[in-house]
Amino acid sequence: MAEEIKKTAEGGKKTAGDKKEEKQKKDTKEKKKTDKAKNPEKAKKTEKKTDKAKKTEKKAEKAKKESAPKKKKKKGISLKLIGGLLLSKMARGGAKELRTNADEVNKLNVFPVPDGDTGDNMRMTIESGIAAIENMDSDDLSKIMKTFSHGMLLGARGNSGVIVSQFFAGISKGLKDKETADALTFGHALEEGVKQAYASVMTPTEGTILTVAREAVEYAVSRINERSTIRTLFADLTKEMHASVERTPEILTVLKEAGVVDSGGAGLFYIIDGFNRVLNGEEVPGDEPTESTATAAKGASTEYAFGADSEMTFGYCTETLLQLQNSKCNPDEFDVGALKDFLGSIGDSIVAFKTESIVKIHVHTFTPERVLEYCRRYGEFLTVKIENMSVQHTEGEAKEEKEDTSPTPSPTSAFAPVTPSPVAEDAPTERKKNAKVAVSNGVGVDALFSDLGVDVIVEGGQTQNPSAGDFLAAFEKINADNIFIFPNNGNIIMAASQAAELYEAAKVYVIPSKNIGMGYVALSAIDFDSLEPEDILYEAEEVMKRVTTGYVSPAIRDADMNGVHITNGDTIGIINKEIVVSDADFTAATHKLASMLLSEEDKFMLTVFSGADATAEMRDELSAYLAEAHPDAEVYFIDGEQQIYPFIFAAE
Amino acid sequence: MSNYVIFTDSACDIKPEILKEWGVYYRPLSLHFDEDETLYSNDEIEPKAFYDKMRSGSIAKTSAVNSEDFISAFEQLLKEGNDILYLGFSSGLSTTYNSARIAADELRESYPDRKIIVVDTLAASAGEGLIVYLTVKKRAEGATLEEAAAFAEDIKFKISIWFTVDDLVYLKRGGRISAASAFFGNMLGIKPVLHMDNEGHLVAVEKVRGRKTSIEALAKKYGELATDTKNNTIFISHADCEDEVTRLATIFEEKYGVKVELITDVGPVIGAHAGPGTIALFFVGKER
Repeated sequence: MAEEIKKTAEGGKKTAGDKKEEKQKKDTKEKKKTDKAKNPEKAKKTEKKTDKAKKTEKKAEKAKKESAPKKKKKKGISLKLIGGLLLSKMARGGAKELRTNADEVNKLNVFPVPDGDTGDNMRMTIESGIAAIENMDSDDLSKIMKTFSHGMLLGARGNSGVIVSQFFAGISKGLKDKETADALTFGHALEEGVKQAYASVMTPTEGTILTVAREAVEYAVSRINERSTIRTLFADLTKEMHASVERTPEILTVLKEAGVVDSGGAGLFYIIDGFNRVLNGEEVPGDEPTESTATAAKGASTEYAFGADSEMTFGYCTETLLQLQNSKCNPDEFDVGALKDFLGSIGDSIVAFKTESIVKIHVHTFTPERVLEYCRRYGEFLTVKIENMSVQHTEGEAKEEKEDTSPTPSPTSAFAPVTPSPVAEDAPTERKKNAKVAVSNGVGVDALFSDLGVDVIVEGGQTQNPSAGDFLAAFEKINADNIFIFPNNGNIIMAASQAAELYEAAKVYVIPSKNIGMGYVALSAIDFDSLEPEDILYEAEEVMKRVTTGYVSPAIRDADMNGVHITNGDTIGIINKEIVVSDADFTAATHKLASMLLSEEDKFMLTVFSGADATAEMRDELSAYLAEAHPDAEVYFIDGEQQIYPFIFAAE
Repeated sequence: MSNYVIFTDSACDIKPEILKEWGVYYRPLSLHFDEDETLYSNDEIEPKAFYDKMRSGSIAKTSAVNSEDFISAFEQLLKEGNDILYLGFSSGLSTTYNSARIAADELRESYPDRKIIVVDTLAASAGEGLIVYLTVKKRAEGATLEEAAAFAEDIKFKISIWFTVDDLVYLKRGGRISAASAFFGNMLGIKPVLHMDNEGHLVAVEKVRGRKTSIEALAKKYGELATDTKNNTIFISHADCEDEVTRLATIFEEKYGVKVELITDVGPVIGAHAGPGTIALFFVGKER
């Protein structure tokens, strides 16, 4: 990656054409403003408070508007100022670049286990932003940025996805009411982005995507002067971002030990690099394939299992994003309840929720045309997807799940028609006090959670992080005063928190369960029906504090970590994100990990989640070992049937 | 010395020889196993053997003391010129107390000069035993029948009763517990902490993870609710889990500097409903 980053950065710097641009339209007042900006704090104040500054801005905008047509003719890009059209083009470039490199980012996994997903999470996050602006042709920078970042907020998955969405949300805040922006204005907006990205993390860690964003923005802003253009700004940004990514192992020892750079930082670099490439004239195909269209294209080349004589048995999975229109209705007063009633009269598996003036709709129906007809009374479609479920039914379950990760906020559990959720999908009737949403991975864990009274299960896990939008769709199925989310994965907590903030129909509390062990223990021990939210949060914290979770996983590369030598193919044991055991023998590694957990202070209980890959023999063998080696321990087995990890241990 | 007798039933889980020492009379409840009709009285089956039998799947059915039984026992004492103070097993769990009440009503007619006072302790096992014990002490201090009865009526609401069971299946099967089904969802690894309320019913109060935690939770309840943690009278009864109870007693000594006054077996009648592995704690608190 280093190689590639270097090339790009240099490329960005060298690409000419700047000079010509720079010479154009030197508005003197504009220049004055830039000069003032040498003291950014002061400039900021001035910008906000004085009429003079406002005037300056208006002039700048006017200048831009005037120059815009000229530009178009010349087929060039205004680099003194950036507007909405250019931004959306750059954003598509960013998404494309990340898409190209997502796998590589996935592989930047600290652990030599097959669960890296940062690249995919960030890709899905930005694609959700791209989908949101897909059909916008506004040249208003603030509008495009707002819609783009809002789409990202909804689609955010994984910690890096959430951070990057917050970064752009901050930028959007910084660009509020700015139809265009020059390098300085954009630079300040970038600073806002960094601020918001840091604020989104409870305890910011340096040597991560945060550092990469901050250092690059600090550097790029420090270099802004009166000659700066959007292009120089992004060239500086890209260059420093690359350097900063390369420095992450110097800050975070775990990266150094694993011989990787920070994956989130690298992902952000690819996005910004993509932005930069557009500025340097690299073409972004107008019709960038988003994942859903890619899927459709793939589908076209395969043979349909639905022929001329087939019977229509499953109906159509119909999804659409409806843009409510002022000309047709009052978007603020749009009645989602009535829409749901209508959808209920023609189909099932209904999801419908409104975010600002956009309504997300999902329904299984035999008459999709009626959905379209109904919806058009209120607005126009941003996207429409209609799939014959008889075709879907004949495709593999795993494949279906994999490919259904459309870039728009798609609640995975509700959208996968072949995965029956053990929790009733029916619309909730009576309002309850406390409801529970839990992220689960594996049919065994699903069943356990519904047994423990979880109202809605969101499918997901280490390699398949649900988005904030997935959580919102889950909330929509609940009628309760309070909703408690159990993310059950350290990398999902932020997306859950983001959804909690976006949701208004109930008070949403995130129980920060970092793994399935913590989530299970809290869910099983807390009496949700009688306790108040504060007590539930307190008890959850108390009970989760006592849990240590260990994972048994196959190793997929050689490594030396934490003083443990790992050979590709070994079985490794992980406790608290540290590899503590590695052994060529599966049984030996499993025994060692279990014993380590039970030897910790005050640990007397072990719950074993056996995975999809754990055989009955493996279980029996482990059970016999524990009975002999730890006769005093209370041991419980649960058929979790989770992926990747043959065993997960929760020691208490 | 007052000429009244303190009388109880075998649900108090105090061994016959100790009751004798205290000068307390009793009648035993009884039980039989599903597979044979032989009726055993609570005081004639060895607890360890009984619980082993339960563990191997035998189901025991229990019977209350009937009023005839009380009449004959009470009458004997009345004839000898004694008044009677009966301290009985919670009416919330058994008809034993009611049998004693009926017996007393009947006998009052035949023995108008004698006094019989019946007290529903609203307690079970060594909680009932603790009320008996404290009343015996009161009598030793010179309390009259009425004073002793008033004392028992008062103290019974101050005996705090907390217990944990290894498996809720027994209590549920015997219909001796009611709680929302959600509370009992998936009980894998969950140990309930239960309480006996002012009506003498069993209520599930808390779910805790793991046996050890549930035992520690009992000691915690003591810390929270005992009137005086240093000077108190603590009784513990258990259904075949002596080692764990010994550890619990150590916690009392180390943490509160108090010695457990009496450790006793949960007798088969109570044990048939609570199941092996039950540990129950009784002490004097501000309230139950």
